[in-house]
Amino acid sequence: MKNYIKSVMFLAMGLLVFSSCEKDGGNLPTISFKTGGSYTSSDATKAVGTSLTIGINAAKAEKKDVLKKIDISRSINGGASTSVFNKDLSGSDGDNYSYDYTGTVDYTAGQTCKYTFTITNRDGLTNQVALTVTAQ
Amino acid sequence: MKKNNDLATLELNYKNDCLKMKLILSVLLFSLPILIFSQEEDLNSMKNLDSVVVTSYKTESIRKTSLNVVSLKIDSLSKYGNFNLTDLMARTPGVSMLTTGVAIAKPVIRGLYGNRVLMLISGMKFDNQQWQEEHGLGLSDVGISKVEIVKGPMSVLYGTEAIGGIINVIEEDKPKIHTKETEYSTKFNSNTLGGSLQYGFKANYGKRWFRFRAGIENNADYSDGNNKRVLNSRFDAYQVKSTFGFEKKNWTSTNNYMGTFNRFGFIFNDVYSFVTPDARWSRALNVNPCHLVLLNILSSENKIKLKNSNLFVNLGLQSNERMENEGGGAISLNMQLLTLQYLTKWEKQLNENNKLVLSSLGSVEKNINFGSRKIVPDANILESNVSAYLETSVKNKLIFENGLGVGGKIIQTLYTPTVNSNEKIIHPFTKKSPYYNVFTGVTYFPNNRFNIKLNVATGVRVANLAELSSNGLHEGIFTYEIGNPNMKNEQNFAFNFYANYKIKKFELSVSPFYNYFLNYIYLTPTNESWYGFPVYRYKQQNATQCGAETTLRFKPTEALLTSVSYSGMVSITQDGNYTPYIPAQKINGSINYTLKARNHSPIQLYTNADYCFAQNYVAPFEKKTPSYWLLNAGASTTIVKEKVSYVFTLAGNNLLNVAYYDHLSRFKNYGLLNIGRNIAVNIKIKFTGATKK
Repeated sequence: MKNYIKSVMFLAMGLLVFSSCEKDGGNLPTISFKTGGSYTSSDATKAVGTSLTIGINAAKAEKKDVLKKIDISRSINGGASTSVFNKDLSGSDGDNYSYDYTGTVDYTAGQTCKYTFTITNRDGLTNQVALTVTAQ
Repeated sequence: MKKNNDLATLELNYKNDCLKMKLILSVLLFSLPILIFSQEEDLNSMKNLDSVVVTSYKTESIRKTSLNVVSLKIDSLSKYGNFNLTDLMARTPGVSMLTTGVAIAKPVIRGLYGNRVLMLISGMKFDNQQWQEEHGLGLSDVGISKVEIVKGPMSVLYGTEAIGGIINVIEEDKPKIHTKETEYSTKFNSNTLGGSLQYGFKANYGKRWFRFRAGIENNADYSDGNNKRVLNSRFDAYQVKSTFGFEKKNWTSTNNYMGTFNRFGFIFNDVYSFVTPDARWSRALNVNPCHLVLLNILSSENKIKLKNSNLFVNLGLQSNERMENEGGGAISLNMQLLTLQYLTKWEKQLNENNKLVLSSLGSVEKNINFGSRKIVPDANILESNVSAYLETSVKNKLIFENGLGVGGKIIQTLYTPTVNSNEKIIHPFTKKSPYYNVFTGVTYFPNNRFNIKLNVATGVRVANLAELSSNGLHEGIFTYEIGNPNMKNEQNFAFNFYANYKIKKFELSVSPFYNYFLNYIYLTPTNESWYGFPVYRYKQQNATQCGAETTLRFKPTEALLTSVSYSGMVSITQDGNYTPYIPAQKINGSINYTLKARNHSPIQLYTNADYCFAQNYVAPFEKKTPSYWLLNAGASTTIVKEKVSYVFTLAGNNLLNVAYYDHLSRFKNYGLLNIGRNIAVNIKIKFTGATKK
């Protein structure tokens, strides 16, 4: 009996030592369009040559998290995506970041341009918002 | 914290290095004999060529194997004031260490490290996710009796990863029959205002024996040669070891448990943008970024005597849990690697001159991610290797060794969100990688003054999980790394020569080597970017390495020993670039003296000086480092009174408090200097008694 108890204790200890914990999927940083005023915050049609302002608010989702980088890219008519703005975030920007992107509809009538705003945290987790502006 | 990378300024401080080096060597070689060395450290001296090593196919003396083996006898606390086991090994020519501060150190054998150097613990392969440069081994010298270092490949026996060399960590042996030993020891480091405490007990009851050993270690941030604090370089550790061994009629068994928990303060690119200095001697490791390594190993080493042959069976179960707190106190990366493995060897003396050894090893590994940050995917890994070895002895002066090995590795990556999910370019895969290896060598030892060895061997390394399947942001460095599942096996062809000649009071040893790599794997920057982060990709091309180590010893009296050693190498890929982290050329001079006085215990004294040349052979985007030299000295004595022995050790490293960047320090990239002056004091008390019969 004594040996049996010892064996069970040893096995339990072994299972504890070599066992695993629960998985943490991680929370993505948040990002959203600013609305109201002169902001473009959803798909829209604009005249060629007009200016547009797209604003975003990004925030970390966990206390320990740090926002690391913001990237804004655009793709015309489904073509290759090119980065139009990119910034390393630090200090208070690592907790919350707000930015207004100002651009011009500089493509020809009938073309579409997809703007993608990507926020990346320290863990390499990304979150995106996007909208499409059609030129007329 | 100053974060400059002003290596040029440091270079100016060393413009008279050549003169300094000559001065040091002159002092060491020709000055009055002051000090000595007497730890039983083996630097391939003729005396130690008789040391018995176990890392080869069979247990035998160093001179009787064609392998280039160094055997380091280690006490439970080293006399050299080293911070970890790797630090101690790096005092051997041809061995250095890739460091991330004083605590995180990976052994480098002839410029190869990580998955290119195989670690053995209790006779089993040790895998602790060492593919990443900043991962520490988490090993200390607690309860260790010896480390054997094999320079050159030995994949025939050990399969993949034994491509650059082997480090075999050997646990302390049982005490003499019917005796028990109790040991208390402590160590203090002046630089970090830290140190360690150890307790050990072991007893031998004749047919069975056991031991228990425990240790704790704690060090605050170190100061560099400018007396500047390197914030968050602190570390602590907890170690437990126990062993139960027994002998039955034809069966000898040694069963070990080892548990360690290490925490290392972690410094990376932008760490000082959000870490603010706390109290100078703070040891807190729960707020600022740190690595945590929890290691548990169960192993069993067995020898079974059969009729006219011997069978060795080793079994092991390892759990390596690696966690990272990247600031804020919460664990971000959390990986567990579970390994179940065996190694068997059957040894038979065929006739007077021929011995045959057949061996087989196998392992099953499972890598699981538990944290939100993932670098490599969850995976199952299976490896198997079989080999045959024939030793032919001619007139007990000449031994030929020939071996042949066949093996394979299967890596199956599993679906892991954010690493190989649908939006990524690398998806789950299964990769089978067979491999073949040969080994042939000869050792000639006509008398006890001369020994010459030559071996030609192949080594193999199957690309690791990071190289095959990385697809994410590298923590701290913030480069986006992408692997390639179609990587071929990395294979090398190595030529190792060793000669040792002793005449009267002089002894000279020379060991040149040449390595040709097929499909050498390396990480290189690209023109791509990932949301603004630079993209690095793992690639392959052939590479060549060559170099040599040499040691000259002069022992004018029994009490005095002087030596000078040199090591140097180059490593270059087919496109003409140097590989990263090539150890700088190094000259070490030492003087060792044993001071004997009537009615007093002898005092062992030593001093040595390391001169490291500037390293200008660097990989693209790698920083060059200037030369430097360090002066070290120490003393130790053992006082024995009946059944109690006292060991006192004083060791001073970097006595001149030189501000320097070692080329293999990753901190050079952040403008952080290596550690400054450190004085270490060790005290050990050992009680010996008799057990009940």
